[in-house]
Amino acid sequence: MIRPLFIPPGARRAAAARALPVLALCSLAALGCSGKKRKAAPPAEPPPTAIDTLVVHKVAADVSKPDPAAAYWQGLAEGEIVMTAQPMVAPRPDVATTEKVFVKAVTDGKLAAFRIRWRDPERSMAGRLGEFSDALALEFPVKTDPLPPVMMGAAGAPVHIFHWRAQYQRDHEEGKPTIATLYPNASIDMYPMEFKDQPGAHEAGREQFSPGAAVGNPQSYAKGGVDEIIAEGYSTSSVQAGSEGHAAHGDWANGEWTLVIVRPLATEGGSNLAPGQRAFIAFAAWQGGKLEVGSRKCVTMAWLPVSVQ
Amino acid sequence: MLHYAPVDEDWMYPNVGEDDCAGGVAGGSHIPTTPHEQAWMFYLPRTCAHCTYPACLAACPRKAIYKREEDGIVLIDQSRCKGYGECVRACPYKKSMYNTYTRTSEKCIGCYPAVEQGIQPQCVVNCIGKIRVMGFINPPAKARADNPIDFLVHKKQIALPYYPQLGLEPNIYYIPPIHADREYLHQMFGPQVDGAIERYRDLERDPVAAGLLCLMGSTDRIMHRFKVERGKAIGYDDKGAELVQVPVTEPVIERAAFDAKLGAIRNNTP
Ligand code: SF4
Ligand code: SF4
Repeated sequence: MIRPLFIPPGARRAAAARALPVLALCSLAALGCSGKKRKAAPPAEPPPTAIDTLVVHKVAADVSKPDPAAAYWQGLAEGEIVMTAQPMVAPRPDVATTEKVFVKAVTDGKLAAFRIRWRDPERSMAGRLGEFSDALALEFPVKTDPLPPVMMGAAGAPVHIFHWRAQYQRDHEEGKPTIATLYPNASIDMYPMEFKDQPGAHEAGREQFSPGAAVGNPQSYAKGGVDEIIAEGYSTSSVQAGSEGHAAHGDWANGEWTLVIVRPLATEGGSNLAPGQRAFIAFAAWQGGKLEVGSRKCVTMAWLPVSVQ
Repeated sequence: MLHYAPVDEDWMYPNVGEDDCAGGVAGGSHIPTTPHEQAWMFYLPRTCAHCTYPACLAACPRKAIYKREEDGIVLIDQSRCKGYGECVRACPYKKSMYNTYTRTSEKCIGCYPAVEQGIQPQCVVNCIGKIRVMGFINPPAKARADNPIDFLVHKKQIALPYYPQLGLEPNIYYIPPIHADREYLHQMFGPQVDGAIERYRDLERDPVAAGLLCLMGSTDRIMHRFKVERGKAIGYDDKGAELVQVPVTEPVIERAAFDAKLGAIRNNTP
């Protein structure tokens, strides 16, 4: 049995209320234009609505480049997904920091792109001690009959996760920060590392003091935008090596992330999406600025059915 | 410190102030009695205590921390740690630290590669004061008088864990400083600190204890047993083979202050 996502009535009301500021913004834009040559107004975006199925719309465009502003998102219905503070595993967040995500999905027949939007008052990309990254994850069941537990799967019932971190994106686009960039005034007496008053020392000198890198921990390397993960229950998530068939890019503006994660429809050993085939999705979000990391996150409490066109 | 997540400033200058006097001492004053109420200080090497009930281990939602059955050493699996920093928050001794470069949390590894070969950890064998010893403790009911650690902790009861009230059963035992403020020592080592100090003061009348203190720092191997007889202290490994033999009382040799042969003044350096 597929359980439709439960949407509390309050959430629907909140969705209606949300449309107001959008309208206000539109009228401001109209004011700004007055007196100048009138441009064609962009088509009005339909307000997000609660959904019981996420439709992956077929588009006649290449969706391989993750682009939150791509034309094919225009005018597509946006689903409103209710999140809650992760309730199962300690340590848990005290409050639901990310109460909702808003989702659109498209496919070009080979790849599926998901555009996720959520409120996050500050952009956090981690780096120095005590800083954590904003992050979002899409989760898919590897097998759909029976469905694995929505929270991280179970032994023999794996889930397939695409985990984006703002930190990974920064690494990918600007390079992984060194200690010299994170702590420009750091200094030390003996170690042959790249501190400012260590002439001739270099980052390679630090590498031999990097046990994480030495044992191949993906955490210790610069990433692309997104980690592909397989999990079979709490505490078991493991990053899959060498999976490059996905990409992500997020833009943060005005207290809101708009992120696109692209994944192949078909994967080997992972989850599969195809027209007419049972498929499901779940979401998790972390607000780094609220020190959320690991099990301190907001999640969806049930699998949401996915319908690929 | 419970569940406090440290920030940069906490670890920025870990040694600043440690040798500084916090108050003034009037000129000409002296310190007539112990404990010293006026002025006191002590050093305390605080590495990870490889706790019997490690808070770091319990806090990790990834189960990336484990306590080894063979030697009790607590390790963070560097291939599985995802740098959540939960152990950094949870350890009340603040012994697990997040490395912003490796993006994993790291901590003392109990020098396990050495311990696996029967060698004591580096911080023990490098101690120039020869006041450290590493070994394996037994539960109180199974304590053996010839086990160096059992002897100090269970039999003589002169070594105490620090902040035992946190409940983790840390496995570093300290012989408490005798000069420091008692109220502070009670807070740090618990109510048994008075007895421990008394018994420590009495130690010179116990040749076995004196012998064990002489063995400390005299071998880099892990001592599983020791024996003191005929003025000699002897340490043994896990198979009963002798590791080291030291005199309990060093022979006193009187020599002229000036060494004519080397043309040098002699120093009395123990
Ligand atoms: S001292 Fe801290 S890091 Fe070491 S075992 Fe105990 S709780 Fe863990
Ligand atoms: S020398 Fe070894 S046992 Fe001592 S603190 Fe360092 S890693 Fe730990």
